[in-house]
Amino acid sequence: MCTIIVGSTKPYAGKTGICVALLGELRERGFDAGYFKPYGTMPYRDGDVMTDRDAFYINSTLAKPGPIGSMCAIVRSERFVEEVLLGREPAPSERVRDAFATVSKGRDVMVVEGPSDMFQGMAAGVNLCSVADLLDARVLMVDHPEHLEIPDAVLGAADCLRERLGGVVLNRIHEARAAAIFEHVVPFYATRKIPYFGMLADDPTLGSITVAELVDELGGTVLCAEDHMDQPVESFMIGAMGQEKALRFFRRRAHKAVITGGDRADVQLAALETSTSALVLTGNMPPSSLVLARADELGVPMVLVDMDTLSAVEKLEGIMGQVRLHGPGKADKIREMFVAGVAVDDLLAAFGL
Amino acid sequence: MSLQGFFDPGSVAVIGVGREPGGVGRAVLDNLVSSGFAGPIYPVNPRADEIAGIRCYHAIAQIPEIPDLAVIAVPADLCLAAVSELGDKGVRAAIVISAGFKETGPAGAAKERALLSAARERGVRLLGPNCLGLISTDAKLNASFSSTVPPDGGIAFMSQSGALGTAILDWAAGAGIGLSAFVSLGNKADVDESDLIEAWTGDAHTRVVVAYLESIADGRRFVDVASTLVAAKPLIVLKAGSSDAGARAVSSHTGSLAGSQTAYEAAFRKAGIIRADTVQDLFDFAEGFSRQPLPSGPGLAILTNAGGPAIMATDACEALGVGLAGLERETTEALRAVLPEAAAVYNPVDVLGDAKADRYESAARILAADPNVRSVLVILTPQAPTEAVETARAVSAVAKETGVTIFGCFMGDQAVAAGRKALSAAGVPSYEFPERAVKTLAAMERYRAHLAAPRPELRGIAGDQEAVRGIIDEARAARRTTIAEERAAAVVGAYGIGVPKGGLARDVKEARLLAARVGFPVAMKIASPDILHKSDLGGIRLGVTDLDMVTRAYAEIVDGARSRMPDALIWGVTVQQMIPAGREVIVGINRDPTFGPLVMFGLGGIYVEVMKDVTFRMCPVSPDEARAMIGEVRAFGLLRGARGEKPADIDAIVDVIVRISALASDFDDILELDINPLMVMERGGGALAADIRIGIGG
Repeated sequence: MCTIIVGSTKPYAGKTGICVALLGELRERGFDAGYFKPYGTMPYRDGDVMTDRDAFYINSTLAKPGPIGSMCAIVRSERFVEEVLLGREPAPSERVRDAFATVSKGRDVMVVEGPSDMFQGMAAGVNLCSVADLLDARVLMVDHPEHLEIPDAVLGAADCLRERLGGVVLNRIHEARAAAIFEHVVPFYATRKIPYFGMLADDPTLGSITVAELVDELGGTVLCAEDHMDQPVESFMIGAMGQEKALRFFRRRAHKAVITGGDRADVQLAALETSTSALVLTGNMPPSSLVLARADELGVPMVLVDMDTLSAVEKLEGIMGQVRLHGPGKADKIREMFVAGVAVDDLLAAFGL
Repeated sequence: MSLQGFFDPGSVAVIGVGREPGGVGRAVLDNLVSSGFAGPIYPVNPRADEIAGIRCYHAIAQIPEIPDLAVIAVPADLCLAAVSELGDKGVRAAIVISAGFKETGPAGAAKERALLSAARERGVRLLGPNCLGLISTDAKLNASFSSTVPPDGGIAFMSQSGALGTAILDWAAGAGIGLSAFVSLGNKADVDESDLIEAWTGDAHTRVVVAYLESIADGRRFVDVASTLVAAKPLIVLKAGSSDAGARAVSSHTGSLAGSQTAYEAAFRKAGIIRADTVQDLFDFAEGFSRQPLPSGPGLAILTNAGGPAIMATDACEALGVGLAGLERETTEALRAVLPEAAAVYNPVDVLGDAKADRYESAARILAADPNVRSVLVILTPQAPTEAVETARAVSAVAKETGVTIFGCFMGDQAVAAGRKALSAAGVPSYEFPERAVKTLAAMERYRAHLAAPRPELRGIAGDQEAVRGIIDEARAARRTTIAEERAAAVVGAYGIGVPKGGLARDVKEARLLAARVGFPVAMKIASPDILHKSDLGGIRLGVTDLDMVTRAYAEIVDGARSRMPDALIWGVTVQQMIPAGREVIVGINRDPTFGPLVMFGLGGIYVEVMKDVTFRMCPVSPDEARAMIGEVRAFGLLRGARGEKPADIDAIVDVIVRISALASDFDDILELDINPLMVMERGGGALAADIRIGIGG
């Protein structure tokens, strides 16, 4: 059996997406591929079993899903945090080893999603380097450079992983930087003998959430256009200006949620003139029925929330920007981008496949 | 489809008439009867055989003929069936007075859509819903629930506010101002302001159209039909919601954007619409335009019995651009001959406090005979010998005989009340204060000038549409909302606008190559969609003379931007030929949701936002309009050449404005565009678009 650990230099580098793409490609090539996550940070309860939300979702997409109780070995629940801090958590590394043995039984290949950076899980002994040793496997690093910058984090990973570093994939690269990174960073990897397999473009649709997810997070009441809850929200903007400025401002972003007061009919209508997926009305002030009628006609849900604008913004900041693959079609999209941007054959060969 | 059924019906059905007075339908029936409507009236009530002495029908189907007009006053839920039955019967015009539609929320909006589609399927024109109804004085038709009916006259009035409408009807009746028609627009599901403007353009009874509007449904059509109407008769519009707070109120009251002030100004200017800022303006203008002929040209004579008010009137003239007539020598001599020695015989002409009606009359007659005098403002203050009523009659008679435009301003209250009444009876508008009279004259003068101006002639601009389409499509494919730098330069270049040589360098190597290709010295600028004000961040280097400087400047520009705006997306650095120093202006586009693209011109460079020295026009603009724009801004003096400077190439600016307006008219995708600065050389030297941003939205 072959194991590929997918690690990353920083949170939100797009590790989960790469796992999904890899699993899809492996299945396409006739491998029986399983998925394992040693350390999950999004506690999710399925019946009696405590697991990780993303892991649960990915596992469910497999042709033969693994046992739910084992696919995520350790979940960072409140209890786990307390136990670790008190020095009472019994042998986490053994739990990882045992769970992996259960999940990988009979599989040709295992795709293992590592912690979110080089340090996460250190206290419990399940950080990336430890897991690689534990599972005796090599690591595919995912990096997300935001500028033309020196890839210190990848060098750090190489230093720690040594021969266990299988190579690097660059993810979420903005089109404006792709050429410069290809020209400067990629040759730099060669000089450091770090195998490079390719890069994936940044796609804001992958970072989007649906209006329904937004409502779940904010806990508001949907006032209209209830049949448009699956529209993607890629970003959000705050409406606090006069109508003339609002229009200019709102035109800069597409597929956005606009947060404004329920009494700001002018801002709401300006947002409706531009590409807007949802209107979030703060302060529990219901909108004018005429604006409501207009939003309904245009198919833009208006969501009334019982919090002020600042709190709504804080909540949304917490959820935007993370790539969520749960939406329909997103898995296919990222796999398409993976195949287009990454030398998949070389990558698999480097991991002995 | 014609709206004749609304204004001149032979018969009217009223659907939903209560047996007892008090309901809306019953009020409409009573008003129809009391206004003296001559044709048959068919009330419909399922349970009544007769109401107010008129035979009542239990169902629409039982009405013995096809009524020309139906007024519907049943609850909202029953309106759909009523409109469908009326349409099936063959009725072509229906007023839906009932409320409970769009104004109540999504469910009501759905009802309104259903109502509209039922009407469209059957060829029924619909006024309302949620309106007061309609009055057509010539047809003796009061199909509204307002019991006040104004006298017959030449003003057609539409109102998007029902309540303001009733106030205006009351005022008109009280002031003896005659209306040809009154229409309450309501929710404007079908019939809107443009339809009415079209209907009133050819209406012989209507001499002036007055509108109170909060929003306009289709701005382009509005400007088209208004332009046609304005060529024949004046259109006075009070557009509410000009402040931010007012705009908010309009939005929540009508469910539509109040629209930007600049857009409304540009649209009104294009169509020659007279804008009233207040209800008082609306009344004043309506009275002035409907009761007096337009002055045949500039040249106002002020005739007064007191110095102070005449000076105030003169100040108002200067402030509002109303030219005072210079009197001919014959005129002043004739005045001197009939007036006391202390009288002022130059304009303003002061006949002194002891003037009686005869002195006013002879002075007015002399003034009216002066070829430079096209209008006369008669100011009267009550003094002991003053004869207000006789003076009013005398000057009115002079106006009638000579055809000169005449306004009265009889100041005071009880002492002049009878005089004002006499003016009004003689068809002379009278104002309490001179400023209001002058403001009205200014509006009439502007309208006359609009009628006299040649129609703008557009110049055909054939841009490379394919190239522009390609760049926009490429940006859309990459999900960009802005086009900037060399792609934006290519867009305006495709429409024949001069752009500097150069392009975007994504790293130092490209910057050096580009600089060498363009030729030294070069200008270097940060390229980032997030950085709007490049010079604020040290993002611009001018006069870069060699490759070493290019290398250094590249690093400094990018490092500076990154440290000051760490989150900004940086595309690289633009390397351009150095543009010779010129005068910096801005040419831009802003697409208004109601009126489409507006072209902007003003003083450019970094002070645009401080000076706000800009002017707007609706696209497309003719070369004449572009030239007028350039003449309007305060910075025009700088372009013409201040203190020995040579004049700038104004023809080149005209060319750029015309081309940009053609580009914006060709591509709906372009929501915003800024050329700032457009570097204008001396006359004959042309102009270069130094920096361009284009917003295409999501």
